[in-house]
Amino acid sequence: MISIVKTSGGIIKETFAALRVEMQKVRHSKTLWITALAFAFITIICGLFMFILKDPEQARRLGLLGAKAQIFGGTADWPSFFTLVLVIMSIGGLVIFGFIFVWIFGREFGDKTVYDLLSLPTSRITIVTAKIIIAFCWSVALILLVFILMLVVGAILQLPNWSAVVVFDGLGQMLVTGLIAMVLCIPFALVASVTRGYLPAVGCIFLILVLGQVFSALGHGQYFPWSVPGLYSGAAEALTGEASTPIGPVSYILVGVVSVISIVTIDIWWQYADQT
Amino acid sequence: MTKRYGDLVAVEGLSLNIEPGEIYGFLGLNGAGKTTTIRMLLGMIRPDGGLVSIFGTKIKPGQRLIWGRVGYMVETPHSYPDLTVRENLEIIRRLRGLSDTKTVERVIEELSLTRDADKRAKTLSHGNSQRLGLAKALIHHPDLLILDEPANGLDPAGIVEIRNLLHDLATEHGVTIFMSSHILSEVNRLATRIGVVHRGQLVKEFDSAELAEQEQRRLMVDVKDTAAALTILENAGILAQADNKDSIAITDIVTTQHPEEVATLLVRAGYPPTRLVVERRDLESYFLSRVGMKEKK
Repeated sequence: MISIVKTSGGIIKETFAALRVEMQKVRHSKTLWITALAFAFITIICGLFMFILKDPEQARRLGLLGAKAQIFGGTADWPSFFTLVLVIMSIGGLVIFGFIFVWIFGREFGDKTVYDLLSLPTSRITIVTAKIIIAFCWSVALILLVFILMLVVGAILQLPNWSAVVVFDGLGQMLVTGLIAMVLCIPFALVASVTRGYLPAVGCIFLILVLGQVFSALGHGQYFPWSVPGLYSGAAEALTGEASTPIGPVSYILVGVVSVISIVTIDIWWQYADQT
Repeated sequence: MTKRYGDLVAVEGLSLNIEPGEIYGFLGLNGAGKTTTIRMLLGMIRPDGGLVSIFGTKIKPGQRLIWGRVGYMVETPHSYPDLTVRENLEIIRRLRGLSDTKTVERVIEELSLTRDADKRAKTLSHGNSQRLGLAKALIHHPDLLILDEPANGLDPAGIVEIRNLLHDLATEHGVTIFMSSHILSEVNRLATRIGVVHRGQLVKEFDSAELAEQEQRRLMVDVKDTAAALTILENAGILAQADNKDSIAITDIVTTQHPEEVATLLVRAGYPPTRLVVERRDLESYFLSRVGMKEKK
């Protein structure tokens, strides 16, 4: 009985197995739908701003809401729609992507299922890698959902200035902003692992957001990695109406350093820390 | 092995050697260091001193192939609440690299989980959650099973069922079993060897042949004058001692098997017993005495 069971090795096979496992966990979770709804809501609200901007009479009737839409979007057309979504996503993305990373790691501790992952023929590093890949895929899927919803909402509103260049440029910027936000969310996964749960990590997301605003306001945002998505997308500029500090290679290097350090640390932690 | 958390010594100089095919009962009160020991065996926490070796392989961080031969269950088993029993087992099957998809159905059947296979883990009773935990430990036909309180939460029928399953795995398939428990009678029924752990130290280890010897009998004799009765018994060559004001305890094995002779002796001497009873000082009492606790009378 013992000897007839075959185990199949191979890092690639092992990684695919771990990816399928993580996918299965995500597919059955409510969190997947909550994050999708959150992003859909953001897109629809941006569409609403466009709708208000398109009809100034209605904007005036709505008072404050109309005034705010004017600050964010300017004119009601496809480039403005992309800018508005990008600005909101650069901040909201950090929160929602951060929550995805925290959930994927923190749930193992919250549900106390982590012990099932520690003494297996699949290495802990493979499991951590699979979790990070799935968090990335989930986040990218949300960006694509926003993009598709934007196309639908924009078409319904019959926004002007449509061109393939505007659309692909918009999508590219959304993906780059999203990617920067995603790699900056890996430290939150580390916090969720070390603190063995969700709450301290969620608190950390909000603390970082506040710090990001402070650094941007002080004009040092380019040196604070979590301010970079907002600076890249032009969120800071759109919010303050003033030209923000331009980001340079140092900013991108800092983002890279944070992500590499957090990946290495999370691997070391899972491999060596006592799992009490 | 030794493990400390600051000033707290969880396990101190604990040394175990488990032979293949053995069912080792790791017995201790709550907080004695059982779970810490199990986590060290499974490489989940690193000992501050000493080492763990399984099938000749030293356990260290990054070890993975050895776990293909080990099944385990640590403390109360937990599963993904929104996934069904079958899906939870599928996850373990994949992570254990088992290519045969039938293994899930087989273990579901073995652990009598067929009726609940499509139920979400969060809706399972405590007993069935325990069965699911055992199913995860057994899915790959391990050579070594490390189980923390396997009978926890099971009803009496479930306990017997799991006991039979573990017994069958050990005797028919040569699986080595290391199981912790704080319930002595449970360990007593299954284990071929028992280790008693207390305050992080192994205080006693004995095998099944010694179990019966540990199950001591004693003859309790109540008399009106214990001092006089003790002299009579001593003169007759019977080792006895006063248990309390009115009672005498006799632990001599031969005498405890013939209480009528003690009664005759005392009656003839003019000190008839008011009560004569053979008490079995079982393993529970033995265990409590080893860990320095007294039973309530």
